[in-house]
Amino acid sequence: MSRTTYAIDRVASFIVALVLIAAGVFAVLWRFDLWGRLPERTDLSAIFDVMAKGWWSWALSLAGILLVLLGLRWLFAHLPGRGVGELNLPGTGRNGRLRFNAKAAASAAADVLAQAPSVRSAQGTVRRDRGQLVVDLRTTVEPDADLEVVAAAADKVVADLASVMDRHDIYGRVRVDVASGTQSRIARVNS
Amino acid sequence: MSHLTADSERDETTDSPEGLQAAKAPIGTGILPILGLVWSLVLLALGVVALHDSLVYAGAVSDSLWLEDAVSWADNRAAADWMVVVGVLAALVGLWLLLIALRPRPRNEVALRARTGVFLTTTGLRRLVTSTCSDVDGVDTVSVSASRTRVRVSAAALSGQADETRGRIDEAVNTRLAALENPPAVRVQVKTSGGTV
Repeated sequence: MSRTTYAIDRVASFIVALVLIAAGVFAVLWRFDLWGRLPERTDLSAIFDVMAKGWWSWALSLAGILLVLLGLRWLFAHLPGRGVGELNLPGTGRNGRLRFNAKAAASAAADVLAQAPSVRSAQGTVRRDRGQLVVDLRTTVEPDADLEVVAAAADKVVADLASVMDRHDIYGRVRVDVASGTQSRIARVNS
Repeated sequence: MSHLTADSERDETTDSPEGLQAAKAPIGTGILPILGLVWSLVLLALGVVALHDSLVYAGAVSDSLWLEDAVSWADNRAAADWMVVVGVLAALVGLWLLLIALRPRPRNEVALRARTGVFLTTTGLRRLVTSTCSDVDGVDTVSVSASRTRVRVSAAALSGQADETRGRIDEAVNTRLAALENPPAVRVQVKTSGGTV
């Protein structure tokens, strides 16, 4: 999902909110006659007049197609991005392209990180996030992990990845989660 | 002291002097995308209604005209009590939506002190602190709530040891969280079987 989609969601929610609030206020004003200029009964004859026009059915089909297309476009914009697969290496030119599989590099880095002390598991992806090409490592550590050791291990893995990829426009990020319980850490005492 | 050793270790282990630049801090999405999904489905449904009626006009489908039915239903109608009920409910939903639409994107991670962006989730922070407190001498049970700026620990301790236990918890948690860039404020509350001390 892109930032644009997020912004559209926000604006649309804002508009729907205003419409709902206005409808509620209007209903109360109308029912309790707090706004004298409101008519006793609704009169929608103007709408019937428009619907009787010759162009109405054409306009309706056009509007229908547009709404369905827009709705589908908006719906599919919410699908999660597939992430970035291959990237160019420096030196790519007319004579040939140097490509490397960034996704594979990221998951290899994650595998290395998973070997660090008190790290339970790690996954790696490459994706575009707010205008940056980001190597995103996610790791789950044990509840008794030493954060400094984890941070140092993450730093080392990302630094190695940087020297492998040799591109300076790539950003790194490691997200650390903590497992909800240690695996049989407590020594049992039999009485 | 422990940071110093960690720092020097880091310098030794970093082969490339630059590494990757730290990416922007992670940011959550909250509930807005789900709402957007709902609005897009509403748009689709409106489109289907419009297409249905235009097919009826074209004679391809013989059915009543949905839009005309809706307008006829709403025409010549007086204000009624149910409209107030529905209206107030709609306004409440609207207020809730307004709050969500105006709230900034949630941040659920705290930064660790590291060369590249390393972040700990607030859920992770809570579990980490819970684990730390459980290992403190004198603590029976512990419950922790954590946000990016504040950690609240409430622990049950052996009776008569509340003060010592609180001191130990405070020290253990602060030591543990020293690896964070901006360690959250820690507040510890200890109860013994005699009550809060």
